[in-house]
Formats: sequence, C-alpha cells, structure tokens
Amino acid sequence: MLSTITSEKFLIEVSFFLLSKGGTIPMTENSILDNIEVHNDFAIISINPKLYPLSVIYSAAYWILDKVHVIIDGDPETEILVEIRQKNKEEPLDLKEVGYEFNDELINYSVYTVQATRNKRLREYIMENSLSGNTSQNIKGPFPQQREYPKQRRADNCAPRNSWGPGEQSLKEEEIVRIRQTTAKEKQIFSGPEGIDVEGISKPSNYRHSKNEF
Amino acid sequence: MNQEKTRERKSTIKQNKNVLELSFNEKFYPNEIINKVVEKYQEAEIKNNLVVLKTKDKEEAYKFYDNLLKIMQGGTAWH
Repeated sequence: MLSTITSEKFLIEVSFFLLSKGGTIPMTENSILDNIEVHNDFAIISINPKLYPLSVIYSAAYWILDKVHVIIDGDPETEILVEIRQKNKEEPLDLKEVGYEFNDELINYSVYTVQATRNKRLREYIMENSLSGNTSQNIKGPFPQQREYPKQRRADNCAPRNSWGPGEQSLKEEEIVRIRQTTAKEKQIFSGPEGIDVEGISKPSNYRHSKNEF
Repeated sequence: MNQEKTRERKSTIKQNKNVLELSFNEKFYPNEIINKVVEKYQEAEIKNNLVVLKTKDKEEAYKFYDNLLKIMQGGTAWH
C-alpha cells in the first residue's frame, strides 16, 4: 500500500516537473475508435460499410495509392478491410499516419458525395437551361425572343424595303398633304398652349431633304 | 504492434515455384476489370480463377492490385 502511494506521488511529481519545464506527458492510451492495425510491414484499416459507401472507400484508397500499395478485402455487408503496404522500403513510412490520412479522406469524400447529391437537381436545372440556349421553344416565360410585333402594312400593300437611301421617301405625296392638313386640335397638341411656340418650331414644314443636300 | 485478428482473406498472394498466384475478392474486384488488367500484362494469365504472374517478386503483385484500383477509378496511370 505504501509503495503504491509512493509510486503515485513520484509520478505526479515527475508530471509537474515535466509541465514546469514546458514538456508534455507521454500518452500511451489508444483511442477506442482506433481502426488501424499496424503490423511489421503493412497495416490493416477496418471500415464499417454502414458508415461509408463502397464508392467513397474506393476514392479514398485511390487517393493514397501514391504513397502505399492498397489491397481491399473483407465483406461489404459487415466489415471492409483495406491493407496498406509501403512501396519503398528504403524510405520508412509511418503507416499509422497514412491510416489516419485515409480516415480523413473517407470523411472528405463522404461530405463531397452528400453535397453533390443535395445539389444534383440544381446542377441539372442549370445545365438544362445553359444547353437549351437559343432554342426559343424551350424557353418558358415572356422573353423578348417570343414577342410578336404587329406587322406594319403599307398603303399600297407592298412589303417595306430593307434599306433606305438618301432623298428617298416611302410616303406618297397625298399622305404628306393629309398630314399637313391636320385639324386645329391636333396642332394644339404639338404646339402646346398659345404663346409658347414663339419660333414656330412645331409648325409642319417640308422636312424632306432634297437629293442635292446629301 | 497489434495482434492480427482472425479474418478470412480472399485477396491473397501465394508463391508457387517460380510464379505468383493472385486471388481476388470478387465483391471488390470485378472479373471484367481483372481481365482488362491481365491483357496489359505480358507475363500474366488467368488459371482456375487465379491470376498467375510469372515472377517471384511480390512487389509486382501489389502493383497489380494497385492497377486494378486505378482502372476502377477511371485512371490511366500505369506502373
């Protein structure tokens, strides 16, 4: 009993001494969640297939192929085993550390898979819209491409010309005369209240240019 | 060092005289992928559901498993 107390006291004193010198107390206990068995020249990582799908395990295994050889075994229903074995024996590798990295990658690829599944519908919607592009029949809603403009017809029922040349006028003389002979009420609209249009800029005049002016 | 648990292994490498006989867990390594990789190896053939590598170097066998994984993940890199 006395020796036990003495040894405990000794350990506490050593711990305080290490802490006072800025050191750390060595931890020997392994995590109860440890899934890595390290052997002489290989390690086995045990994976619960209910937590990680096979596609995620393949992706994580592919990621560590640069460092170690990988063999997958076990039962996809109960326990999946990933055996890792270092490639270059001249350069020793901490297989436990590689195992921890493998565990990190399992979580990494799982998160990626979950996010990709969540965003699947959104990605499909964006792709559909970007690929449908200029095909107006796939566009829903009152977009400008779908507007139907009123077809303007000339008095002589001829199709309008695509180009217009200087000095040319599509209106006929009688149409111009009719425009000039507007009623006083219409003139009032253009000229505004009496006394405003002093310079007479609202009065219709021959606005056409002659050919010589060009 | 951990004590190795008694687990049944299906992906194994066994030396038989001057060749290595590789077996595969078919739940993780599909036969079509194995055939594809065997075609790439000049000194490999399939006998009785085993892949026979004409070498004694086990490193070649590990590389064979790595290549299976690479092909399954769509990679083109080759040892």
